Amino acid sequence: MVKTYLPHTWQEALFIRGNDDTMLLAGGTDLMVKYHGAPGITGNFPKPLLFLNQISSLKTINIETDSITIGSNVTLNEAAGISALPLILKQALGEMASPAIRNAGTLIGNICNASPAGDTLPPLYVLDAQLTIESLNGTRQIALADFIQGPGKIDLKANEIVRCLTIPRRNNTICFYKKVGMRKAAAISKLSFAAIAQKTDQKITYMGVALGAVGPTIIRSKEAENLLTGKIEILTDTWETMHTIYNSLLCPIDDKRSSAIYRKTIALNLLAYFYKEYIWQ
Amino acid sequence: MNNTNIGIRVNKVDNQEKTSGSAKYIADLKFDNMLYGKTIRSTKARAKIQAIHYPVLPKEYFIIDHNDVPGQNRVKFLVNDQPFLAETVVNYIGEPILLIVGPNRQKLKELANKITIEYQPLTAALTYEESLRCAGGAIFGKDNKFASYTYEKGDISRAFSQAKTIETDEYTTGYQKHAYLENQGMIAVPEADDKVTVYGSLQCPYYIKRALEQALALPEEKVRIVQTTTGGAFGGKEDYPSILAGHAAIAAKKVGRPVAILYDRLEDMASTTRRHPAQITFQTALDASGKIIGMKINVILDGGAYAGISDVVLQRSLFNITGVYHIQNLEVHGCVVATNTIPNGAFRGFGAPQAFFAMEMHMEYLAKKLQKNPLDYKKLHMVKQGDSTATSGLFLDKVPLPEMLATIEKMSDYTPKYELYQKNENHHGIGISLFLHGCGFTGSGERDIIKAKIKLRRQANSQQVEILAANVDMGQGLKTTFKKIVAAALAIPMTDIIFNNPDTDHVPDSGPTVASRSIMIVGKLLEDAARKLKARWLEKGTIEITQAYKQPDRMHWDSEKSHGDAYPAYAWGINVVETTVDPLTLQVDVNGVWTVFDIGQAIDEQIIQGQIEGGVLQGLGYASMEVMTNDQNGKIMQDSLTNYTIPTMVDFGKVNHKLFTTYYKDGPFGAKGAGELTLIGAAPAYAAAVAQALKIRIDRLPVTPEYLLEVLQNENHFLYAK
Repeated sequence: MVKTYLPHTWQEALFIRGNDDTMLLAGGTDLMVKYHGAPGITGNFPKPLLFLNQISSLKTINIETDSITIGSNVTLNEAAGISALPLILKQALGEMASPAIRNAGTLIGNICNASPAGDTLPPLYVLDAQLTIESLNGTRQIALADFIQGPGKIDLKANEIVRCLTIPRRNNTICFYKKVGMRKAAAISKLSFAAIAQKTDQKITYMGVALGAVGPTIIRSKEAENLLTGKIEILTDTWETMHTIYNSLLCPIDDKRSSAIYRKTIALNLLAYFYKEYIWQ
Repeated sequence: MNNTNIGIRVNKVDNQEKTSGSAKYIADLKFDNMLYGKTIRSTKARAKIQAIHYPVLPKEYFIIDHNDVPGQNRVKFLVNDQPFLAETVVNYIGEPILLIVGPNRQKLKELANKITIEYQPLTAALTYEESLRCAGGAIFGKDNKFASYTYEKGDISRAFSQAKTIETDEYTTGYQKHAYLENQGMIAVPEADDKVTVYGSLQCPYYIKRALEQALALPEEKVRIVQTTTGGAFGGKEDYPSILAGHAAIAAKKVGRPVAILYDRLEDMASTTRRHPAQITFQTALDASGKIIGMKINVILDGGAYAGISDVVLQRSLFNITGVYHIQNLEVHGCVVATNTIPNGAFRGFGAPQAFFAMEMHMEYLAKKLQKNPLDYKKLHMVKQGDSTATSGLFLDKVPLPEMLATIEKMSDYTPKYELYQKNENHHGIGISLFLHGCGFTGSGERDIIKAKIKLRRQANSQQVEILAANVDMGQGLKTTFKKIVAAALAIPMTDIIFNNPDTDHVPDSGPTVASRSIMIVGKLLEDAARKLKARWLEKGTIEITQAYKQPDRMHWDSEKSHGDAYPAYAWGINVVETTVDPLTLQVDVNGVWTVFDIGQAIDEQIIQGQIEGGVLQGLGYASMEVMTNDQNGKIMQDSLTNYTIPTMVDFGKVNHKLFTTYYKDGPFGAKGAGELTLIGAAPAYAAAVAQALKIRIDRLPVTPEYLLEVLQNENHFLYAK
C-alpha cells in the first residue's frame, strides 16, 4: 500500500507538507518510473505521496513585461505553448521526451528531478531562472543554480513546496541550443548545450552558456562569460583562456549511454562553434 | 500457378482484435488457483554454488530447484548442454538457479530478496581471446567451440601463389536485442492424468513440446503447447521459450497448480537471447587488374554460455560470407565460441547480417584501395544465373541484380551523388549494399530434421476450411497470408478460412516459424493441399488433406563437407542510404533510404511493405544506435529501453521501396522468403555512406558517434578545430 494525499488547495498542500514527511508528485513521469514495482507489484515509494495535480492555482502562467512566472502544475507541453517563452527554452522543450511525457510531466518536476541530463536545465540556467518556494513558515526565492546541489539533490526542506518558476524576460539576440541524444526523439541527453547573448552596438551586454550531462550538475562559468561581457574587441587569446576554464570544469563520465571523451570533445566543439560563429563573427 | 492478383493489399485479419485491445496476450490470461513464478538468477559470470540459504516460506509458497526437474535437466536443442536450473556451477550473470512460486507477486519479490546464495567465483571467459585460450578451463567441450566448420572451393593455394597483391582486413559487429513489444511469458497448467498444457508467447510450438517431453519425462500425448497472441518475436521467441516454458511446467508439476512466469522488460532484456557478435577476417588475393581471384575468410561468433542454436547461426554466416559475389577460389573457416555471457540466439537474419556487413565493407575497402568506384567493383564480381555459390552449389534461377540496380539507380541517383560526394568536403555520403538471403533452413534441414506436415480440413456440410499448421502469427501477418493462399487456391472467400493460434493437440508439426520459411515452405504445402481439396470439393462428408514436405529434386547438399546447394532459393535486395554527418557532434542524419527487393511474388503487398519498413529500420538501428555491452564482470549494461535505444519514426524517415516480382516455382504463387532479407542490407549501406561522408574507413558495428570520434582521433583528423 502507498499512502497518498490529494489536496485541492495550496494551503491544504502546505499543511500536509508541514505535518508529514512526503514526496511531491505533479506529473509523475520520473517518479512512476523510478519507483515502479514489477507488473502486479505496487510501486515501492519510500514516503507517502503528496499529489499536486488537483491544485488549480499551480496551473498559473503569468506573463509580465519583465518576467514570466510558471506554476508547478504547468506541463512541459503547456510551457512550450507560451508565446512569450524564450526561444532557447522553447527549443529544448520541443526536442524533449515523447508527446505522452510532455503532456503529463511538468517543467518544475524536471527541475526538481535534478538530473545532470535534465533537458530544461541548461536553458533555465542561462536564463537566470528563479524559484519561489513556500512553506507554512513563509516564502523564499532562490536562483535555480543554487537550488540544484547535485544529481537528484535539491535545496528543498521537508515542509516546503516549489510554487513557481520565474524567468526574466530579456531581449536575447543570439541563441544556440543543441541536444545530443541517443536518437532524435524520446532520448536522454548524452550532453546538451545552451547559450544566449545580447549585443548592443557590437558590445556584448549579456551572455550565458550552460552545459548539461558533462558534470554532476549543469556547468556554467561566470568567470568565462565575464571575459566577454562588456567587451567590444575580443583579444585573440580570449578563446584560449576560456577553453582552459571550460576544459577544467567539464568532468563527464563514461556510462551506458556515452563516453567521457565523446562528451567532453563534443562539448568543447560546441563551445568553439558558438564563440566562432555567433560571438566572434 | 501464376496469380498476379494475390499480392493486392487486404486488411490484416487480426487488425480489429489488435487495435481494439481485445486480443489476449499471455499476461491477460488467468487460471483458477494460478500462482506466479519468479526466477532467481546468478549474480556471477562463472562460479560454483557453495550454499543456498532460504527464508521460512509461508503457506502456498514454494522453491523449485534442479532436483525438481522430473526428467532431464537439460534444454533439448542441438546439444543438450543448458540446464533449466543450475546445478553446481553457473556460467553467466542471469543464469536461472531457482524458481520461487506463490500467489502474491509482491510477497514473492520480498522472499526472493531473502534468499542468499554463496558462490565460489571462478575465472570467467568474457572475450573471444579468453574463450579461445579456455581461460578458467573450457566452458564447453575441450576447446570452447560449440561448432566449427571449414570448407573450400577451387584451388586456393594456386590463387594465392598467383596473386599480385593480398589484402587483409578485419570487421567486428556487436549485439542486438529484439526489443519486441510483448515481453516473454508462459503459463503452465497441470491437467488430469499427468498431462500439462503450456500457453505462451512463442514462435515454435513443437520445439517447446519436444523440450518439455524430455524435461518432464512425459510421452508425446501428455504435453500440449498453445500459442497465445504474440506481440513480436524477431527470433527472440525461437529458442528461449523452451527454457521459460520448462520453468513454468516444472513448477506447475511440483505444486499441482497453474504457474505463470511473466517477465518484465528489465528481466527480459537481461536474460533472453541476443544477436551473436562476430569477428570476421579476410585475406583476399587480387590479380594485376585488381580482380579477386581467391579469398581466405575466418569467422568467429560469440555464442555466450550455452550452445543453443549457435551452430546453425554460424552455418548461415559461413555459407553467405561471399555475399552476392562470384569467388572462384575460397577457403572458409569458422567457429562459434563459448563465453560466460548470456547465451546468444536466433535473430532475424540469423548470422547473415554480420557476414554481409563484413563482405560489403570489404568490397568497399578493396575498391578504395584500388581507387575504383565501389559499385563498379562490386558489379565486376556479381554472380549471375548458373554461377556457383560459396559452397559450390548453383544459382539455378535468374539473378535479377542488374535490373534491380538499374531501378535503384533511378530511384536514388546513387552514382551521380556518389561522384559528387567524393569530391565534396561537406560531410555528405551515400552507400549501397547488394545482398541475398537463402530462403528457408540451411542445407537439408527441412528434409532431414523438420519434415513439415500440414492439414486442411473441411467438415461435412460446411463451406469452411480450417488450416492446421504449427506456424504462428507473431505480428508478421501469417494469419492473413496463409488464409489468402488457401482462399486463392480454392477460389473461395478468405472469410471461409479458419486459422487459429496453433495448439499442438490439434495441429501437425509444420515446423518452426523461423528462417523466412513459413510462406515459402509451409505456404507451398498449403497451396498444394488446397488444390487437392478443390479437386475433391464436391465430395460429401469431411475431407482432410495432409501435405508433407518434399525437397525439390534440383537441390543437392552434402552436410558433411558443407558442399552443394545450401538453400533451395535466394531472395535478393539492394539498399541505398544517404547521410550527412554533423561535424560538431558526429551525429548522423539519414537523408534518404531506397530499397529494391526480389522476394518472388508478394502474397500481400501491404504486409511486405510492413516487413520492409520494419526490417530496414531494425537494420539501421543495428547499424547506428543499438549499443549493447557487458561490463568488466560480464553483466549487461543496457538493460532497459531507455538505455538501449531502438529507432523511432523520426530517426530515419521514409523507407522507399520497390518490389521486383519474379516467380519461384516451389513457393506458393511464386513466393520466396521475405522476413529476414529486409534487415540484412541496411547496416553496410549506412556504414558505407558514413564512411564516405567523413572519408574514413569503418570496420565496426554499431557506427556510433563515439566510435566515429575514436576513428577520427586515431587518424588525427579533426572536423572542427578549436
